[in-house]
Amino acid sequence: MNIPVLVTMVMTLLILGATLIALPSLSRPTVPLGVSVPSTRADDPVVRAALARYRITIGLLMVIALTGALATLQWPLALAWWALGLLAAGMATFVVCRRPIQRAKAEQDWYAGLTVRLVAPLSPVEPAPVSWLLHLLALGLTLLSALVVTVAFPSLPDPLPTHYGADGVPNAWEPKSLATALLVPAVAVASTVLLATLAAVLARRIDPQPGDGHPGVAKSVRDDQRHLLQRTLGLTNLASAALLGFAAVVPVLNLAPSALSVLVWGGTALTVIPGVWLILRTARLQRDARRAPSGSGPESPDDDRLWIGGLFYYNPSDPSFTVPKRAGVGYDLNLGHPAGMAFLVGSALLVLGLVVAPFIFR
Amino acid sequence: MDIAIDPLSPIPLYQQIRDRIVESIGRGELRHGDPLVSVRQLAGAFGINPATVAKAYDQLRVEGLVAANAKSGTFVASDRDTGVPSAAFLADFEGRLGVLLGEGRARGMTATALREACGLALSALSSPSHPLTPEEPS
Repeated sequence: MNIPVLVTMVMTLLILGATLIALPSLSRPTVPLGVSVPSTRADDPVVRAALARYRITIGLLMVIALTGALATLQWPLALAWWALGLLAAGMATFVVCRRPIQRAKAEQDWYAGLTVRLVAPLSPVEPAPVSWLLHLLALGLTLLSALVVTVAFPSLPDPLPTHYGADGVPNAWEPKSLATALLVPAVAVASTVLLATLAAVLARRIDPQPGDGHPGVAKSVRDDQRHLLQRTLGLTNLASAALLGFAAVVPVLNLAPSALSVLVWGGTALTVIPGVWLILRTARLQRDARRAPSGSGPESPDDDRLWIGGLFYYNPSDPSFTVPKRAGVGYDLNLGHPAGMAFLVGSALLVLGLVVAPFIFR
Repeated sequence: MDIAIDPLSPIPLYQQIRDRIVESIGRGELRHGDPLVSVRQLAGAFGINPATVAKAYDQLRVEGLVAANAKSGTFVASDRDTGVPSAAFLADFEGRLGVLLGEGRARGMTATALREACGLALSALSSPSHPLTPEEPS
């Protein structure tokens, strides 16, 4: 077990745990642990206690997972199991810790006498500004890598190394051909275009607008989030283009294995940065929303019945395939939509396949 | 331009959507030719069945307040500057107003109180109110 792998492993578990702990800070103040509450109750003692209990439990689970992963270092696959275990235990903690809030809401009838409204735009909404400059830079980097490989093709070794171990030493080769040499640059270009397309599609979404007792604040948070998401997608595209573009020109550079190893692991860490940045900025947005003076506008309706465990959206009436996440940043599937269910089953099978395959084909 | 509907109200959602759009045109916030979002987009943003939104749009189309074509989707077809409405509409409108005023009288409102209520409703039409602030707590 070498140092980069160890660092990656610890980082993975730390980021996963930190994200779980941060989850309530990334959500609207009116859905603590995925329970709808009126804005006047967002700071209720019951809510505070439930959030504290959730955060402490996740912290403990994180320590257990890290200790466990370090104790089982000799099995390379153990990390995946510890990470999956931490995720599953985190979700269970979420579901258990939200119960007191649900109980208090039902017993004290928190919504009694309050005005609730569903709000939506009637006029077409301006699409969010796509970070085209970042996407173009990313595309430029990957195209440049393809050009470098094409120009340097005559001087490339035969057979061509196509795969490297974690220590930077090649461990798979293919007979040299233009198709083999250009495979990685082609994947890099395709993934860049795909990510830019995804950004353009997301920019055109029209999302529900929460009232949250203060429609003006809720709306400006939602708008800022749309901008943040676009910037993050642009930065992610640039970081992943840099990494993939670099991977594409590795056979040309002929680096020492140790230098290659450091560069690839460093580059991988780089691609995590935009995501971390998004999480930090979102937490700040929601903190500002919490601190805004309380409004007297309509509340968002209590839609707990549409969210299974506060985590999974199931609404067959809703024509949307995805909806803004209730806890965290980004979008969730609508499991009541045929495409949403198909997507969930597909990805579950994929993850299961990736975890089980090594046991079958060894 | 946003609209707000009350999911707990006994008034059907399609009726609320239709009424809110009529009010927006009446206040002058929507003008002749202004586009409306598609049925699917509005249903998605509310998280409700598209058939509900389609029913509201259909009713507005039959009433001639909106129109639709393949190129520009649904748009506002009648506004404050459209001119004198048809005799058929006037007769129908006066009939509905008569019922409403009669209901007020039947509930004990005096003629003065009715006039006052009409004046308030009219002035609300000339001062564009934000749709997110409810007129009165229900």
